[in-house]
Amino acid sequence: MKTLLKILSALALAIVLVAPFLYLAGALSMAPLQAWLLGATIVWFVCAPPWLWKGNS
Amino acid sequence: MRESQSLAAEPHGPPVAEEFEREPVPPRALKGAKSFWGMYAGEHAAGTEFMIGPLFLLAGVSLYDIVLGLLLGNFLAVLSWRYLCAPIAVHARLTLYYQLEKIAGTGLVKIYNLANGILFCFLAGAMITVSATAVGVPFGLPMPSFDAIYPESVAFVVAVLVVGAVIAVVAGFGYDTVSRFANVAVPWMVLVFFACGVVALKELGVDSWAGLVAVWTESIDFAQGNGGGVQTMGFWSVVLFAWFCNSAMHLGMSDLSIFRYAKKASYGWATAGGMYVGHYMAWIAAAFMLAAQIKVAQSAVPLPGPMAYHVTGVAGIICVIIAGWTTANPTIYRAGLAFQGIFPRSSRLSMTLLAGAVATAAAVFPALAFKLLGFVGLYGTILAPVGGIIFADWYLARAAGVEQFPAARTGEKYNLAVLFAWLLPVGVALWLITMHGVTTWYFPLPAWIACAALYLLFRKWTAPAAARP
Repeated sequence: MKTLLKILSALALAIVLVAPFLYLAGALSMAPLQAWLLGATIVWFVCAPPWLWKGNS
Repeated sequence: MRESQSLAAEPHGPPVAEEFEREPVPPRALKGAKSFWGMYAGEHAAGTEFMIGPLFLLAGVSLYDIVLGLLLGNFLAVLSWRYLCAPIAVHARLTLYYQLEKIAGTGLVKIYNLANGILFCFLAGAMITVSATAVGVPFGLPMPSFDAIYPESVAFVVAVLVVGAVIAVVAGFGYDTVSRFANVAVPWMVLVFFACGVVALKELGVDSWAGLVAVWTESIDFAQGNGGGVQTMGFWSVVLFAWFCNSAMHLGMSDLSIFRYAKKASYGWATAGGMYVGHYMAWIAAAFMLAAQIKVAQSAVPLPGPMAYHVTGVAGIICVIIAGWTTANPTIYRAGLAFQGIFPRSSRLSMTLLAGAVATAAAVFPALAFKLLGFVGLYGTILAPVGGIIFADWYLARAAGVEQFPAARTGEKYNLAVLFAWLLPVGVALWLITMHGVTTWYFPLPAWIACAALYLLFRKWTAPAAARP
């Protein structure tokens, strides 16, 4: 489970990183870009705390 | 300022634990380099970064000056941490407060605490204002205009009061939770900062450096013709601002409290993580956001919430809120600790809430955020010179015939040599700033040097013979 959450978290960060470049390249328009960023944000805040929070203690 | 129990746990400033407050950090408590890189990268991804970049554009800074000036200025800041602050920290392993107390006396440290606490409140106030601009977007609240000094709408004031109250109460009751949450948010937040810049670049519609420079220049022309003012900042002004905007931390030795946990002084290089993520990439990204807003919406008002929403949508709003919240939280907490240092019998909670109330009251005035460049320069001008005294005491005192840690030896509560060495250069700087309009970020280094020299001079004159080495 923890591994899956880590993979999903990494995927979310990858989307936040890559999506703007797709927009820059013209492969993505503004509305889908913002939707992807919001989706990745939700995934990050759902998947990262369970494994990252504990590591902070 | 940032006493830490766990550096890794608190990237946005770790004032939680009062561990090793009055003793050197023992070897078993030292941290690895990774903790410092993470902490500094997170700490400088703050809500106020969204303000500073756009303010450069409004000040008429050329693109070359921003790109090269920030590169150099941030490097000088890193060098200051590495070669001024970190070496003393890893040898003394004391908090700034305790080390200063041993030089200045317990009474004088309270005066420093007061100055520190008040300035922290204003800094937190700017962060609350930034968050409120983001909270206002989904509710369609009227936003303040760029030349506004006083609040312009009741709705925005209410938003500020709500945001400030939430931040203050959370800082009082759940500081640790927010600081852990900040740690979780940092990697995402840094990437959203970056995304804002990339998307804004596309919005500018340029495909070459020359095109970018042209659009940038047009943006300045538009901004300065629409209430942005006519002030200009050149290359050296950008360099000095980048160098001294955190001068209270490096020249001012506030980060002795952080680096006392470092195994080696070379960990001072870790500050590059904060400088080049937060004070380079994020500032430039935020400046591009304003340029994009000018081009698309013909508005030069640098409101972080609407700017971020324009380029990255709801994710951008969330980022501004979290960036403001997670940095205002420890700032208010630190202010509360500083006030508690003045009133030791008061509870930490009551002092944190007091600090939150002051910060929120300050946040109501949008000028605080819009004049952020000047404020952070003032912050450094007032606090950084104290670090000059610590430097002089550590490296130069014996050679100058002055005893080290004099207050600890004599028991004096107010080392007047420290008081006057601090007040004189700061007083002259404040006079030049207020009466002659000299830019605030020119002063931290001259005041630091003057403070160090005056301290040695005054102490040599005034020290009782018995206290001389």
